[in-house]
Amino acid sequence: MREIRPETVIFIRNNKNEILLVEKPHLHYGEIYIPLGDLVKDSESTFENVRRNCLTTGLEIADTKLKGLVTEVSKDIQWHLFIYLIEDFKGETTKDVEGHKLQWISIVKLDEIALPQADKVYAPIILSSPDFYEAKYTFDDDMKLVKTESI
Amino acid sequence: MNNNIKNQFPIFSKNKGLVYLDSASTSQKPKVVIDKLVEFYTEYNSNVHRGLYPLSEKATDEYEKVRETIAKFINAEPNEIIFTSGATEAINGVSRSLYSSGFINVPPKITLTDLEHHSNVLPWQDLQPEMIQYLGLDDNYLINDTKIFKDSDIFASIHASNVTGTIIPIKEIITSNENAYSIIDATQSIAHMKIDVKDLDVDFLTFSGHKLFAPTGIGVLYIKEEIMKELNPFKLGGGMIDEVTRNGSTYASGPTKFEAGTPNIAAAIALAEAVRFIDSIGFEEIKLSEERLRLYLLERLDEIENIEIYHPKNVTGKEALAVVSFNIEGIHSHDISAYLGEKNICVRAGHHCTQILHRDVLNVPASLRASISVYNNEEDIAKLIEGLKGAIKIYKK
Repeated sequence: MREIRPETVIFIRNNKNEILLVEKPHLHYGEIYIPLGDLVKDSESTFENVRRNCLTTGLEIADTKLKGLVTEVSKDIQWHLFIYLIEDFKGETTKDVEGHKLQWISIVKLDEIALPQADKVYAPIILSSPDFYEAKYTFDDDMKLVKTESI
Repeated sequence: MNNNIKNQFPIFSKNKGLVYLDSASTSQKPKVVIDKLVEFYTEYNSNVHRGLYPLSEKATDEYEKVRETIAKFINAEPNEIIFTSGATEAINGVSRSLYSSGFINVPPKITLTDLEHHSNVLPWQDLQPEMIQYLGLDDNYLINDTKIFKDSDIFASIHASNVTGTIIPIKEIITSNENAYSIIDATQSIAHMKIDVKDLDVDFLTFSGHKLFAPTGIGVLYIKEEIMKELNPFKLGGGMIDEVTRNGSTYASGPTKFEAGTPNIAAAIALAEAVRFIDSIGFEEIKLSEERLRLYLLERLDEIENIEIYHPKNVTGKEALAVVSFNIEGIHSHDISAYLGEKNICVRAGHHCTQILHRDVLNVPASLRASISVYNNEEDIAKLIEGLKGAIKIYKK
């Protein structure tokens, strides 16, 4: 049976049309950029998870929107991603989160930077569509994204 | 052996499935030590050295007996033992006292190692030394460079690394320049091997109690008797005086001179209990068990692809403690640590207060560290390896 992992994905967009991403190493892709978010912990709501993650950025969050739900299925793990968009916030970001560098990246440059393969699919949709996004993504045994089905 | 010992630590029965591999950060506490704290506060809590009533006399008697227990534990004399809040306070105090007592040149020349914890770097940098020599690590994470510069005033070093587990050849280094004052931080080694201050011939030796199964907030500073007599105190206040007048003061002699203020009495008494706990097992047994697990951990870590291990290879327990740091290429140590945390596996991620080692020698910003103590067993290691394999699956996405 697969390990089930509920996780949040948090896009924070400022008024310069930039989103806040974390620079991290990746097993296959070298340095990549990923949105904030992590495993929803025991007894934590997804909303509380978003608050917790945002606290580490130094930003004061006023409003959050749940914009998508993506189920990712691999050989061993099944992720349920709760994707949030935050556009209403105050304050300045810290330099890093737990040793990872935080960067504001222009949305028009998202194609040029290294994003995880699934994020490359859903990030443009979450950031441009007014509708709620629901989808199922399937990975092969080598963790290559092979299928995306949206509802 | 280890399950019997594990049962003596209440935290493992309160947290079923807990895998605690972070003893280099702080050790868990056996029931006898916790009971000793409770006993003090419930049966004879009072201040020491001041009251002429039975409770205070009992507290004073128990507190002073700790000095004897610790002295015997490290082969010192009771009047060479000072209680501090921990090794950090002790090193800060020694650095200032050496300076204020005129024992060293101004500005001094200091010898450290590349493995130092920040607590053994910053107090020396604060003296604005003329020069700091860092004894370097070889390719196998060992210190083979054992020659202190001939004009060094001070040799300050950890006894064992909190990152690589490397045991520093202290005796050999001290012998290379007997004119330099030696200050050894045995915080990492004290719970894992016999320390003999006379055999090492150190001038100062310190350790924090909380890594020795004792509570936090208590530590020990050994000062060689002939040095202590001439050394200025590093804390001033109540309890350490001979006489105070409007125009000046004179100080008490011996350890009292260095223990201004109300000490952490309960923690000191519990520290003695921690030493008795260690004595009840014996260092021979401890070393045997930890060495077996160290080798097992290294063998199992080899199963992990793209792992870089920062720990000496093909050495015995005489050269390395069971403290092993590593990185898995392509995954940040914080992410792995957080994943392991989800599985109730406690390891440490970060630079472990050794930025010089991480940045200048290992060339990484951070690492993961697994550290072993008497309560660990093979099952703990197996769960760690399973956890690391799980983390790799998660972060492959």
